[in-house]
Amino acid sequence: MTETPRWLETRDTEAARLVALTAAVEPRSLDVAAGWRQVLIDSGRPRRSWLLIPAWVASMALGALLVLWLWPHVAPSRFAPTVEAASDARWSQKADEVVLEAGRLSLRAPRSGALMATTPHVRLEVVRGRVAADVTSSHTALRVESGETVVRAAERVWRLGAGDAMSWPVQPDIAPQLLGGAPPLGLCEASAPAQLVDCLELESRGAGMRAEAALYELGALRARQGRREAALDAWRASLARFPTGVLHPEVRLALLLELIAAERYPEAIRVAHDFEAACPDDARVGDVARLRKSVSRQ
Amino acid sequence: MEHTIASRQYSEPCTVEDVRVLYARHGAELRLTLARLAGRLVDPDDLLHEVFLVAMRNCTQLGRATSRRAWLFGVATKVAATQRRSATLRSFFGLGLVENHPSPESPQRSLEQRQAGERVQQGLSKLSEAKRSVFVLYELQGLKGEEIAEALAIPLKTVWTRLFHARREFEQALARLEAMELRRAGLDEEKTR
Repeated sequence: MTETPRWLETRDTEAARLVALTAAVEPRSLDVAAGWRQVLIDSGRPRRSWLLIPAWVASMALGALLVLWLWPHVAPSRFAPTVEAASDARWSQKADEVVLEAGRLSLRAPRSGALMATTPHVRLEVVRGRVAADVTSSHTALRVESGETVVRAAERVWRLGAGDAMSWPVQPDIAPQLLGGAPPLGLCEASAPAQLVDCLELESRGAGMRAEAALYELGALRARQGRREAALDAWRASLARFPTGVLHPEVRLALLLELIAAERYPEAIRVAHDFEAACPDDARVGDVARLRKSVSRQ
Repeated sequence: MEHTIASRQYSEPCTVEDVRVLYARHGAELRLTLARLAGRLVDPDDLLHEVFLVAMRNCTQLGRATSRRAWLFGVATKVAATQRRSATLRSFFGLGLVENHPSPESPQRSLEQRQAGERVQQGLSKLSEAKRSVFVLYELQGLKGEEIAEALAIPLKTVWTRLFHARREFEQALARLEAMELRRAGLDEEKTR
């Protein structure tokens, strides 16, 4: 087979002309001594064996397996990571239930299933999420951060979603204006403390405003003594005898506050309704209405 | 002192001195060939060094070669192809590459030759490895068809086939480059108006 004519010889096209020009260029002279010395030096060095690569890969894989094998494995506890408590919080775990006694705590449900918890006031079921609880002796405040929490208390059930909050028992909204009570009326001032009750009972058996005032004072005295039922009886007697008396708003308020303190909310609501109906012009009627509504949520 | 590298069982033992003579005789020419094969991203001096390291390590094969020059060119095409791929990969990943290596061409070349060389290099970059090797060795380095066949370990007929396609693609690549430059020049002219 004959050689094809080179473009250097033909130069019949622009491409051939360019190639011919390029091919005619002589190479730059080479520093043979220096270049050859370097070749000699490098050729004397031992070659890296390609077997080193699989050996290196195998040793790395073996090392990784050893690390994975020897890595300490702690079996995740079902409940260990689910309760985060403030330093002063008190809580314990009984079987599958967390018992919160006091303080601020955060409860997180395990990935599968629900976390059961109780406080002195409510029973919780945290489902797929986290809830923050603030437990005091008087109430439990809850705020659901994620997931869903079912709250049970007083035979009622609430389903709270993320962002919902509630407090139980609901704290009655008692305005300061309702707490003053009537000023001292000066009955039986001369009586010794031991005879004060007798004096007031004697006065209450009378008639007119002195009897009404005596019943009011008698109820207040018994309430201070911790004799709640006796106090309530005295005020009920006052309202029965003097339903539109001078002191009937004060008596109704005293009765209302005592019933709330006793957590006898249905009775308290009825008394509040009575106050709103009997004293529509009283300046405190709005506060009583708010108090009734807050109690109604119980 | 002369070391004998090749095994004594071969009729033409290869010595270090043989390789040194080849380095002195063909080094400059090989370096220019390597620059044309590998492009601007690779230092031709490094490639030449690599080619002769291969020659030292495979002196036995070099001793058996019909044409030692062709054998060296064969190694050069393989080294250039490997380094070119490696440089392309490094360029793709944004690793630092130096393009301004000292030219292996004679400084006495004319401006016309320099411009022609740049244009030829642009055309060569569009060819595949196999076609570029045949084209460079035949058209630019002046190797005979038989030498190229031996260097690349391919049949002679394949050499001519590859050369035929390489020429055609080279011409097309140059035509495209020229058309692009004309279009760009036209756009620039319109902008200046």
